[in-house]
Amino acid sequence: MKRLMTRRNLLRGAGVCLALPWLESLAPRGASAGEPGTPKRFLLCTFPNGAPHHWWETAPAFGKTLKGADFKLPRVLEHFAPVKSKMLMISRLGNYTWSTEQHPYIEPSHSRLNAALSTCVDADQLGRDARQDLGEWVGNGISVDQLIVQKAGPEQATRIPSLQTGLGVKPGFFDQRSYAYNQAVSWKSPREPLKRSVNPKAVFDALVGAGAAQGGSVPGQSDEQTRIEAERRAATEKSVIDGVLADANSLINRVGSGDRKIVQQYLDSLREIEKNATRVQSTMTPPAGLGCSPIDKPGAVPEPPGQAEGLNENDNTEAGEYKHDDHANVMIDLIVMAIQCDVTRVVSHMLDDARSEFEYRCIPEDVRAQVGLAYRRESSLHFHSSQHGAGNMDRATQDGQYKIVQQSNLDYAAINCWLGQKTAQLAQRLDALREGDGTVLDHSVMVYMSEMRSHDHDGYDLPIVLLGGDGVFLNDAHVAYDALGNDRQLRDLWFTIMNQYYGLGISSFGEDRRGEPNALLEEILR
Amino acid sequence: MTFRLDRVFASPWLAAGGCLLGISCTGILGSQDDGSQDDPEQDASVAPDGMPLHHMTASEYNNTVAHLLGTRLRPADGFPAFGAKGFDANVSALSNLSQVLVQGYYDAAKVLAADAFSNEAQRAEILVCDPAEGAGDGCAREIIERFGLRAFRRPLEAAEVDRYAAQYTDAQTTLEMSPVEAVQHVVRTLLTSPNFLLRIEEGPDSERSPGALNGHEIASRLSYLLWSSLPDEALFDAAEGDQLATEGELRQQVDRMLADPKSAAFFQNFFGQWLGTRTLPSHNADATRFPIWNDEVKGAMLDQVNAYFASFTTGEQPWSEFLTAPHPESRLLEPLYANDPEGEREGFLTLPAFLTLSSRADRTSPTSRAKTILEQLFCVPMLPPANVDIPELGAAGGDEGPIENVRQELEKHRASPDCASCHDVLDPIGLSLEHFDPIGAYRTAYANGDPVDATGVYEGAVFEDISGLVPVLVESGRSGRCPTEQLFSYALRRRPSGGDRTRLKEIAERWGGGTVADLVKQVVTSEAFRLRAKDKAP
Repeated sequence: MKRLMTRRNLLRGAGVCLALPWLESLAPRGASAGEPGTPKRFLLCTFPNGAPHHWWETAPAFGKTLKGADFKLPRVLEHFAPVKSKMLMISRLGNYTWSTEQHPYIEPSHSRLNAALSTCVDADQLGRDARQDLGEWVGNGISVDQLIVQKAGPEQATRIPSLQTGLGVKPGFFDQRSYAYNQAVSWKSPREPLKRSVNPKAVFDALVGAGAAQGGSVPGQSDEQTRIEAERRAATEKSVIDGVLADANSLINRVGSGDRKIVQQYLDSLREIEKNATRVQSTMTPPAGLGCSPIDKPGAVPEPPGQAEGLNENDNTEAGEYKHDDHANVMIDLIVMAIQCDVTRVVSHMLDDARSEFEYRCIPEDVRAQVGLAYRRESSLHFHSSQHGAGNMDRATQDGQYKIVQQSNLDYAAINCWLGQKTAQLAQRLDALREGDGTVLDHSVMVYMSEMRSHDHDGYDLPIVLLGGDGVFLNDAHVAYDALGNDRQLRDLWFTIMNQYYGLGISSFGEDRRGEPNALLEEILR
Repeated sequence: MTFRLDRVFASPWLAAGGCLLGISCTGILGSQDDGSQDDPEQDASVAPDGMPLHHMTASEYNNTVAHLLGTRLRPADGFPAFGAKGFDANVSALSNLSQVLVQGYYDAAKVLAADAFSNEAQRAEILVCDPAEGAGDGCAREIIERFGLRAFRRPLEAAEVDRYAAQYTDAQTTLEMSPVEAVQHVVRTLLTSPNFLLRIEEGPDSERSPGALNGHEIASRLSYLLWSSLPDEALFDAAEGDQLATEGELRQQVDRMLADPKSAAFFQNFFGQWLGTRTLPSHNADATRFPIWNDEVKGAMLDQVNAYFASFTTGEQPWSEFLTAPHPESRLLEPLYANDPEGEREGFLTLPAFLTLSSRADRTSPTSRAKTILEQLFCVPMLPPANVDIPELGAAGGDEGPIENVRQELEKHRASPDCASCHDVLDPIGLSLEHFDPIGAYRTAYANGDPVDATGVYEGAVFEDISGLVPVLVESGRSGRCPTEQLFSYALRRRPSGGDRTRLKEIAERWGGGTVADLVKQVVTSEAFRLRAKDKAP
């Protein structure tokens, strides 16, 4: 089933992509990239465990593009119909050239592939290079969303630099590695994973703390009073932080070198908090017209305490019975609120943790029907089990597609369809917000994708959808690259977004142990 | 060592690249840690005898604030989860002290302080005097010293008291706070301090026992080991008087502390993380196949297994009976025992909690059961062979119907040479428990009518079912090495290092499979627990 991909095969593919001359290739297509001053936004919505074969049922042949009426939505993505005209499917991109094995079958796949989704480097290898025990090692590259935050310039700065949300209430086995690889896709620095928060209450508090509730001035309070109040709040925070910094500084001089690193890390984190907490706010105002209307304070969803631990559908919590669909919906509300109040422009949203053990008993009948699955009450819809259920797509090709040996089981497809539905709902909500000459969705790059291919846990042929794109990317189209061996790599998608949409002038992103430089994905550009 | 598995694992097929099994548990007994386990960062920070800087785990945080403030809030439930393998406490602080976590601490301190001052009883505990009365900061200083002692788990230094007293005064003058508000502000700051969140053993040594940790340091080591929380008044008093310096004093405290209801945290955290029972609340069985299954039954399973652990922790039950002791009675679980044949069901391996946890929602998993037994109870780590795609048994949830006869499916699985290397070892152990279904009820046939076959051959010895295998396992576990390593690792908050090898052997021999209380005493009176690490001498 697993055939080795030879180095020669890979090299044969390598010569094909000719990069454009350097400077030209890095110049963003400014003419089409929206009005000056229009906010740029990046939303990375990930789903774990790959996609069913149905995902590619309408895919163009290798190397071809289908547009407009010729581009048909696959059944599992039918919920995207209302935003199909703003949608671009990208197929046959791989993410494996960073692995020392030079092989699209990555082991252990869940943790390593999820770690590489947004960084395109090998977290395990970094740990080995640092001579660390992989069970304790936490390290990776800086992720694409965080690089955007760090490089996008002051005109894109927001009170919350980036937001990490998720719905993973029942993570699976962490492959004997840190939680960070299964529960984070954002990496602020090589040693700093930004774990997603599944707790709507915590996200809400963070948004309100950043001023999302203050659409303008508080009624009955003069601007002067507002300012005095804000200054008093900032001074209170500063007093706490000064006190703690004094403790930390006194400690740091007395402890051994190993402990000193830990205290230093605490101290550095506090200084970061200081920047936000002591800022006298109201220096930024939401873009006109978007409005900023906070939702009602949502209930709490506890973080899962560890691997294979957490909530099941209908479990009792303090806030009542746990309903996954409600959880997903309130998280959409919160992301929309964050965007609408412009407290953040960069969001990573993990629709579930890698290797999820959640049982999707929440999926309504109509979504199951979408994939032709008769409603089976007894079906547990266990995500990881269904991934390992029936389904086999070959590496061999047939008529411009990968050959399907055995069709994916419908439980797996139903889960994918539901995850797509939730993402489509978010896209539609963003598309309903008018902004300048278009909508917020138009002015965003929203990527919906998985870290792996399908049942097989492979690191090639990733399922990817891009929405919006501000005139930079093709819309209403499905672009397919070539088959394995001549396929293109995910690192080039991140490279293209950073340089063409954001104009960051990034010279290289991710790793290619074959020595291939990054090159733009020309086919997806408008 | 009489453990037969090591001979199995040393068989030629293993050397030929089959199942990668090593006999070292937490990386100390085998040879692999001699060369490959060197870890520069770890070496720099942890002397062979030391304990890494103590960074509170989520459950320790929740317990500590509960006992410190009397709060019912559990802020750590919203902190990032730790952990890759082993105990929560063994994860290095450096890899977990992320911006997100520090923000969590920062926000939690604010909420906790506000909560403590909004409640009359909680506030009274902190306000031992009225800060509004009298001039000066006399009362505030007393509050800072009393509360600070418990929050930092050591007396505050004079300079620290001065700093916090100055903050108290400043909060009234510049921030226009009332005296009580200013105390709340100071409490919030103390709860944000690294001295609260981290516990650094700075010395000085115990006066009565030079070279050993001082009373406050030992008090905290004991309280976080046995209560997962801060010391109580009695421990603080003993610490103050340097009365935790002799083996006798330590043993006495262990007895007292295990008798305290707070020791439930010990068996919930130590056993729960070691043997995996803490994941039971998250487990789900397929109620359409197993109608007995519901939240009440699940709760009863947890209560039963915790009661089972407690009988070894606080009772006189010796550890050598862990695989053979009678099960605590549980009315709700009676239906699971209803079909048991003659002869009492006994031992950890047939407790419904273990049998359920080691199963899938819809079927048993003999592989998972065997893996838990080998890895957890015998400290034999198992790694899947590299670059082998491990297929699932049949189709789970697919259109091909459920797996009925697990043994048949496993036999197909074993037909592949890649799979056989591990499964030849695992399957006889796991299949011996096939009479117990995914929620631990006794059965003689599968749902499709196939009779259950739990027979097997282990090292040439034929057995009918688990009852025939248990004596072999009991004999293999007689050295007591694995529980010793596990408890040592939990108590020292790190995996044992090569330097601990001899010490562990001695502890295991002195303990001799007695009670868990005895093992705790052996560990806390060991040099590793009591003495200051060489590179950490003040």
